[in-house]
Amino acid sequence: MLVLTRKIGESINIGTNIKVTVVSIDGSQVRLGIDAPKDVIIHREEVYKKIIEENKAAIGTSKIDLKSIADNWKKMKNSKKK
Amino acid sequence: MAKKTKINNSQFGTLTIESDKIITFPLGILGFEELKKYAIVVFEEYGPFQFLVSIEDPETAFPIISPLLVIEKYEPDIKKEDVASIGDFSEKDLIMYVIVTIKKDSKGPTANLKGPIIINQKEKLAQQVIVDSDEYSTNQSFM
Repeated sequence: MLVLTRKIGESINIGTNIKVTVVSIDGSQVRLGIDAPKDVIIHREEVYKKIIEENKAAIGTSKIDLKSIADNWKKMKNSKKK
Repeated sequence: MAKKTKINNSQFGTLTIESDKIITFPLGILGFEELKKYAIVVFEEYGPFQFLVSIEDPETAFPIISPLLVIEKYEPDIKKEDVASIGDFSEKDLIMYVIVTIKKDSKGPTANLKGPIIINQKEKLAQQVIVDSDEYSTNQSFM
């Protein structure tokens, strides 16, 4: 990994159209400003990984389980109507 | 007559998708970036659940639901720049779904309220957005 030292207000450029700026530092927290084209999606890593994990789990969801929950849901809805 | 595409899914069998029902995810779905084309498939027997089925890999099918069947109020703060990939829209063009998971050994379904699917019905473009707030969870229990 490339490691660079930067001061507040300084930036690094990634390629020709991405710029990361150190906005402020407060103890162990660093605020970064990111300028990037619209099609570059930027996420906090831990949230990004969690969503990928959920997405992968979702396609493994059992259709039988879904169907039985759907059946219960329909029963509940019908009993509410009555 | 609208063009049709036939896809095969081992659980749903052969599905006929009308071309104008195909939704493009220019960025894919997180973890599935290579798949761009999906259709929403509805079966009566699955009640409130629908499926976002990949046209390019029909075995990839995400169970989805309206977030309003998960929680009473769902108003994530999504800015226009967060959904730049779905083109121009006004509020009424948008429809939102959340992905449902039933994990093995779990009691019931959970919904990913932190990663909703936003569809621009006018342009037939969609994106999974990450909601930048601790208010919503990736695995909200419901039903």
